[in-house]
Amino acid sequence: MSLFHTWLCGHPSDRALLEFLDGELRFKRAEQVAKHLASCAECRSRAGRFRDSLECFEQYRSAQLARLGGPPQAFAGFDAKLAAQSVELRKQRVGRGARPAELRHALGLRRRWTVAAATAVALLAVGWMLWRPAATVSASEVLRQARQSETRQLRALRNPVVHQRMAVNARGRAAEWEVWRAAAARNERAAWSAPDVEREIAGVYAANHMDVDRPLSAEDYADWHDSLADKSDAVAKLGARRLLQITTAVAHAEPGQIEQVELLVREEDWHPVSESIYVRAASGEPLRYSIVETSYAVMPMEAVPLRVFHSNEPAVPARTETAENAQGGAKMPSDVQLLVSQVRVDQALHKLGADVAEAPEVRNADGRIEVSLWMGESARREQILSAVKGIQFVTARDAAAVTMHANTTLPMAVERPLYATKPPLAKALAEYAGGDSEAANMMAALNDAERRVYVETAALERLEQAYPEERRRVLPQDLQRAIAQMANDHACAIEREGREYFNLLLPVVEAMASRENRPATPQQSMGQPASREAAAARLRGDLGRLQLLVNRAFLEDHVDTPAKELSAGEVLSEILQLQTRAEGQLMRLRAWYSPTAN
Amino acid sequence: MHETRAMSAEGSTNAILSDYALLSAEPQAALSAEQQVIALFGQLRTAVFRHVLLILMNAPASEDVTQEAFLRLHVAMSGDVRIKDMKAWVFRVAHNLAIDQLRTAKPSSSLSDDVVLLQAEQKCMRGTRTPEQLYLTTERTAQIQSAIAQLSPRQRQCLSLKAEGLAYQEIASILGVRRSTVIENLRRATARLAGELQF
Repeated sequence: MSLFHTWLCGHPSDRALLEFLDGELRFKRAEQVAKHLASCAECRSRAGRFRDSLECFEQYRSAQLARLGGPPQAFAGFDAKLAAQSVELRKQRVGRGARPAELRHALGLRRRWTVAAATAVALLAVGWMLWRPAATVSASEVLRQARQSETRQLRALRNPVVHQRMAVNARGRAAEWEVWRAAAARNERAAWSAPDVEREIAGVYAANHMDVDRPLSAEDYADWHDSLADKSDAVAKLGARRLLQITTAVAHAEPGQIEQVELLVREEDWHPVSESIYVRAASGEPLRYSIVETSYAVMPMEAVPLRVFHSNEPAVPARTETAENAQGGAKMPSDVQLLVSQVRVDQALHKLGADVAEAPEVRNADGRIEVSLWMGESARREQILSAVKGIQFVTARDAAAVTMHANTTLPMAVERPLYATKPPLAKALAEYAGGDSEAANMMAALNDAERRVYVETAALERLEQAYPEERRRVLPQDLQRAIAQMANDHACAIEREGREYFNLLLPVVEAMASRENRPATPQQSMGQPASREAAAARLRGDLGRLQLLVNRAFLEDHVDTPAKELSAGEVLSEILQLQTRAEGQLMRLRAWYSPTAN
Repeated sequence: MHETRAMSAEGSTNAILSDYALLSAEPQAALSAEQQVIALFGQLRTAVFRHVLLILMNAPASEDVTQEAFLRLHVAMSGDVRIKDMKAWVFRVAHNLAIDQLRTAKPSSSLSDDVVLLQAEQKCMRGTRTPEQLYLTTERTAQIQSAIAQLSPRQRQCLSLKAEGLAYQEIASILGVRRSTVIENLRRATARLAGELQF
């Protein structure tokens, strides 16, 4: 029954009828509908149909519930658990007694406990040791702790520099963001993979009086938080990963202003790891920006590569000068000697495959070649250390000493609501693969293959950065050849793994596209003339983009990009296009080290 | 297909909004938190259990989730969080815990979250279809089952929570959507069932 029809004839709409049947209509309207039903056979039969189908569902549901059975333990033990929890919560409340400011807002029950606080400190200590609190803490408490731990980290070093890498998602567009921040000198450097995203994020920060140089900083968040007049906070604990989520909602946000922020803080060290910002748009749906930290380190200024804060100066001379100044003209190995050592280290690492797998940082610092390892005690670590030990001017160092944390997994997925996931091709993939677990395996294999290409590209990129043309020229022939050999190994690996990746991906998507009856129409390759230097980075970026696309089509939700529903044909054409580009980039990359290039 | 997509996207935005609507400040009664939880547990445990059971399809696990949801309510009430609608809160927490459990039930250390989510969603959908085999006795029951299987998970959940005797507004709070979305889901589900079953 059309809306117009119902309105014209005074028949209640389907919705109204449903609400009437469920007793959800206001009294007056319910009376009207009841009167109408008494006189209208058509609507009576419509209501009857609704009632019958609802009854049908209820019968089905009861049958299903009956089959599944009742609670086997009949909820035994709940009261005991609750009582135990009460005791623990009280203990925790005693601990809070130490902060009267918070207690002013608390209930009378808590006030009584402030009196007991002094005597219960010992009890509390035992309580904390025996029992990890599952309770939520207040947002201001989490922020306070996070600020403290931030300050503590910075105070531990004389001239601390924070190095952050973040994955940014701005309304569906992904970018990488890297920040170097010398806290004392108030000197910042940022690098972005996408300038348009950078502009947009900078705009959001500026419009809300936040400091774009201090992303994901508890201090900055707290400043912003305290500047708000009308806000509400909530703290939730995301159990599986031991994360605390602070949600700050801003009342009466103007368009362009933030209306909600969710900050995820790691519970073990109060470190903020990700942030989702919802900016009020002029029309309806808020704009979503998410920033997820992928690595975080605090290091002394001396450990920072010189290029970071002195980017105008050419890398090699600057390094020598500063090194000489620092050492007051003390006897130092020459640049070439250091370079030779660096190549030897890289060679040794390459032989072990450590340049791809563990990727220790190899750096020319203060007249030494410093090898920083990010791993705990293990046989593999010993193996790597002993491989570089014999080389002249080499110091091996534990990066763990200054590195707070390198996030190996992104916590982004934690917040994703299940029922928002409706990836367009997930079902098709499961059908193609012949089951859920098969589809899952396929995706896992694909992710794996992509990761292998990715790490090889990253290794090649590092090699390229470490040995630009002018540095390689000064090396002896055999070392130049060694560098070329290493680069060639990586390029071959990229080609091999890349082919495997595409081989894994293409037939699936092709089959799905053909089933879709929408032939793939690969657009002309964009053919951007990538510079040799950028080729590796671009290849890596493209692969990441492709994997993101594939994940989005098969797995992820579309909350960020609601306008676009990907079909298999579109995914396929994107793959083909990227494949062409990847091949071109690989060619340019090869030109970099081939002897004919120069 | 497009309709359900639109609704799920809308649902997730509203879920964010209603999360803090649920948690917003509101003075609580003079009863102690423990007493309130015991009272609520007595009233709601069967309903919560059933709701979880239809997600997890496993009675012992559902019982644990139900208890855990009420224990969390107790923690939240004892802390700084003021809960406006405790019934909706506990249902919602149980609902989320159940989904979390689907996620962790997989031996999934090597799988990405995405994969687990995909599996969980499909397991949810499969779960509602499993009893088909047991009830394929008459043509009519088969017809009913296939009609119900065609509903979206959200539509089924709306119907199911309604069958539990919850008001539209409560269902909306639990699922994190607007009341009008719940009505619309129910209307579509009912119309679809009526059409499929030729009432």
